[in-house]
Amino acid sequence: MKLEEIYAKYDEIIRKDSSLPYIKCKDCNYTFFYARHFCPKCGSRNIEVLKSSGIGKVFSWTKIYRKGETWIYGIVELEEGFRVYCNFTDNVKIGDKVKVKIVRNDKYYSILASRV
Amino acid sequence: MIVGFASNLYKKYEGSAFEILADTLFSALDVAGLNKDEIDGLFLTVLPGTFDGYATLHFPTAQIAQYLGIKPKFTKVFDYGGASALSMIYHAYKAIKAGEGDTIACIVGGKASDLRGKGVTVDSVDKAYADVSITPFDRLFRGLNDLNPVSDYALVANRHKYLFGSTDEQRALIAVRQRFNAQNNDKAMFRDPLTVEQVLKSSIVAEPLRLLEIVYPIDGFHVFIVSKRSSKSNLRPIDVLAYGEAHWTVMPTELDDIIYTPAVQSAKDIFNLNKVDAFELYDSFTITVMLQVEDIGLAEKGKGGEFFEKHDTTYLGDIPINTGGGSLNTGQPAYMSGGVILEEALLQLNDMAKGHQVKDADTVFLNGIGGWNRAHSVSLVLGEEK
Repeated sequence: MKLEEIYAKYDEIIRKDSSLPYIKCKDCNYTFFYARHFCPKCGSRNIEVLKSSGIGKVFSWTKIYRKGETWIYGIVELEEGFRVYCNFTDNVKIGDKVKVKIVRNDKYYSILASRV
Repeated sequence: MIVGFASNLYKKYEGSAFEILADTLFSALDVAGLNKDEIDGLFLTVLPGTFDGYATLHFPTAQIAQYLGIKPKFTKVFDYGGASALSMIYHAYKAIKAGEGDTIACIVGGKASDLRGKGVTVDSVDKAYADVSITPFDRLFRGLNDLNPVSDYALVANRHKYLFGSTDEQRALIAVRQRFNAQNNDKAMFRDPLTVEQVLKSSIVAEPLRLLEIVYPIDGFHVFIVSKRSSKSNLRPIDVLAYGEAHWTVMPTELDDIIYTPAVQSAKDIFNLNKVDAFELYDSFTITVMLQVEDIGLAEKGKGGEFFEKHDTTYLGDIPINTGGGSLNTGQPAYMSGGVILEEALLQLNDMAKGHQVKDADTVFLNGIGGWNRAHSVSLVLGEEK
């Protein structure tokens, strides 16, 4: 699978219902989000693009204070085993259960996690 | 073989980065007793957006050599951010020992104020310049609202607190000790005494990191001259006693955990820490110092905060760390502090650290951290040639 094909599948999953796509290595079962055309763990090209449940736990977070505004940024560990950077829509603490959504804004994607 | 060094640091320099660079180089050459035409190797580092206001420098070694009017035999760019300076020294020693050249100029710095004026940090340079790529995964990463590297280190600090119970007070203690060391350092921009309470009362930038725990980006350069010709230099003959580097360039989300730095690998078993008189550790943030104390082996993982409670880490103490106050107090030239800690190590080893000299400093351990989200670590031990 070429990288552009992977991103096309990512787009398809994201456009349908803002679900989070990810990649699973069919040889070693490693899962990852940051797209490559091979498994960064074992090097296999035997990979598949899947749709995550979006359910995960807060791995770490920070609340940023800048020019009178605040926003929350961090990392979520999804139940499929991979982690993503995201912005949180709520105040969170490490270990909180969250649901992740991903939406496209122009060129880039916003990844938002909310407490469930 | 480090026969000359110099620095020029400014909160904001009204002029070109090329001017500061050349002036600093000439000062370092004066100390070395050499002239610019004797330079046959040019090592430097460049970080996008931090050299004279430009996002990129087209053929940076050529541009800098052009301005200096030198014709080196070889040039090399080290792009490890804050760890670059330490790597340059080791590779300059190696090149000279291998007979590739006689005199190598190692240059670190730039102008941070232009980027600072755009209201962004160096790892959010994408928000100031269009079409700058910061990861191979830009389209999945750049839509986020971050404030890297501050927010990145804040994530680490919060996770460290969660896993090990480290406290805001323990991190504040690092800033307080370093300020004590900075009080008599004429290179330091911040020299007033500081208390834990003052650190904790300073405004939060990215929770839990507060303003007084974060380095201030400035303009300036450090230049180090490594040469086998040292007859005119009064500096002590310093050798590289140990060296290690490690590059953990995966996305931090793909690390086993974010509370480790590649210093775990670069510093592993390279030197007996009991034989070290002073430690110069990368201090972009208080948490950075705490992580290195753990990762180089001064404390167990998770016990970095307790380490600072148990030990006096001032230049007068039992384990001196960041003896000149570090870049938290001098400011961080071009968002890379490797030159700050390397210069301090050389001042200590040459008994030139007026007002903050560690008694009988013969061996200094340095660790540089740099790159996007702590990707690079370089550990270096300097001491007298045996």
